[in-house]
Amino acid sequence: MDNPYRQAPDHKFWSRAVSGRPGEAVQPVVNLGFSIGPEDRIATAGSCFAQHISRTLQNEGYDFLITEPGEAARQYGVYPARFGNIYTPRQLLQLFQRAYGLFTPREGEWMQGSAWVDPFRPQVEPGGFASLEALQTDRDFHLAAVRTMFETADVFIFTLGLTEAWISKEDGAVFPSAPGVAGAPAVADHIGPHNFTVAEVFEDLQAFAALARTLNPGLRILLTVSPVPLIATFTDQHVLTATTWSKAVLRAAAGMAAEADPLIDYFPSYEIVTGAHNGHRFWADDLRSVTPEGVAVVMAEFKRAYLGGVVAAPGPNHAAPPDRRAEHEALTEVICDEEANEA
Amino acid sequence: MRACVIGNCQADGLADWLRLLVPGLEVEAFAIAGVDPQDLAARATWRAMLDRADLVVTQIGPAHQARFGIPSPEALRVEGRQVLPAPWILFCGFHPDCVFLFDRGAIVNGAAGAHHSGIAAAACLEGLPEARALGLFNTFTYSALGYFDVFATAAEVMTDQWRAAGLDASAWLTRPLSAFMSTINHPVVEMLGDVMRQILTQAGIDWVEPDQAPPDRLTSSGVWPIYPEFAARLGLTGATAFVYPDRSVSREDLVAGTYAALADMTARGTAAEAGADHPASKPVIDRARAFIRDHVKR
Repeated sequence: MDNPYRQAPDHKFWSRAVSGRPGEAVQPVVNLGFSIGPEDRIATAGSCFAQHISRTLQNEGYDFLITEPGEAARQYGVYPARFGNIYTPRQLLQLFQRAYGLFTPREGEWMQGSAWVDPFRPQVEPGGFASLEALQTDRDFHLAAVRTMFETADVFIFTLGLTEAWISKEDGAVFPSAPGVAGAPAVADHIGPHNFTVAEVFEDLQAFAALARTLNPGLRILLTVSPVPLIATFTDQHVLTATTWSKAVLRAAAGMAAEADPLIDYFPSYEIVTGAHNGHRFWADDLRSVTPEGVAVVMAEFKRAYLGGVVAAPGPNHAAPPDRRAEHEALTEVICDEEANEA
Repeated sequence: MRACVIGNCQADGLADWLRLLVPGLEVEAFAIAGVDPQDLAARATWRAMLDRADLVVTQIGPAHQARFGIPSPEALRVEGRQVLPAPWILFCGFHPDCVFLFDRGAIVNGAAGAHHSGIAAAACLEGLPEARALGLFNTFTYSALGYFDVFATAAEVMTDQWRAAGLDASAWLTRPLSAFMSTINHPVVEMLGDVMRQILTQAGIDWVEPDQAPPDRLTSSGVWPIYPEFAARLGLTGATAFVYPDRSVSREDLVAGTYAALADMTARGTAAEAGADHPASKPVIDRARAFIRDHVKR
């Protein structure tokens, strides 16, 4: 029997693709599912590392979607709409559901001192909102901008950041930060920690993709995992092992999602920063923040792989509409009779 | 020479045009809308109209011929009359959310008469509060329910129905579009004029263009809005309110009216089958109910 690795390309062998090569020469993106062209409208979301992707796209002149414009000091323009950081796929899924009326969380507002805080983006408004009405008005405007983003984007780049989240036990609403971090409800007993599993993350990614494609059939989704470690864990683990756990879960689920869907790709931000080939040189002194050089290397690989090639976007994955002709034809003989009853 | 136009609620509008296009022609019209098929006086009325007519323009298809006892075009021709078929104009493409509700066979009125929103009816039947129903009027819901695909199917059906009468509907279905339907079965008066001109031309009957169109009788029954998300895709102006000549019904009022009607039916134990008497409304409501069960988090 032939050695099944004999004809494999160099990138499949550690000795040829990693060992002895300078870090920049290790180019881990292979077999792209799609590329991104200058005419593509690109939306981003995710943990704080996603902001680097947003900035690069804007600086490179790509069509970075801004559907909720405003002043930078109030966190407009960081992402297409002012949703702040989205750390977990469940939070992303619920953003979509909230925008389209599929989920109306019971938790509507938190307080921070005398200011009102949106629990789902608690830090976007410096100092909080002056009134509940101001919060609700801004939220309506914001969710309209979120809808526009999902409806007009050609590419959606999502950076998975955490598995640990704070969830309402009443309705499953997920909050980006724990009560008390940036505002809190009057009573917070119903909000507790949850550490998402691989299965949950994978299912949430699939559910989000299914919803988004119902709306926008050709949407390409690029997943990446933030290399930034947890700042703190609510588990009983050491923060180092909790981080490894969390990143392993996210990496596995993102890979599963990409394997399962031809319009989902995985981009290895995590591997570029944490891989041994770069000798841990991309960590700042706190061993948590990624240095500008590290970000630059990640983005260089992103540009090389996705922004440099010929755009070959797959066609929309849109099923033919169901044949409902019979229903239309059925109208013919009955409508006027019913109108008659109205008279 | 005397003519009779017999048809649905569009018959009077067609007759208006026939009078204007062929001056001197005496035109009578009989609309079966609102008529009890067993009403002997009504039968006598249209029979007398037909007996007086040399020319008959008819929208009546086989099912209504049987139900109302109206002679077929072939039978009318045997009687010596010239018979010109006209299409029964229907088009759901602008208003895929419009449904009719029934309570033990009787139509149920809401804030906009017989017209209800399928999304609102489904939301009510699935136990969602009104506010949640209002939140479902968006592009995702319409996409999931296939509403955006309805225009193409409706255009096919309309094309075929017009073609069966020897007419060409393509001018109405080519962009730039106009909002040519006030409701799914009420065309604008200009479309009725086009139908009558095509019928006369095909029959070789000379006609003259009138100075002005007749009044749009059907608009008085209300204009169902083309939701903004559809209008944007069709190059039209969108709206959310149902408009009568003297008032408008907001989406909030429309939804509230449907909820109130279904609450009454629930009290009588008849709500579950609210759309069942309508072969086109029931599938719309059923799909919307399934959508809510599948997607809406309680």
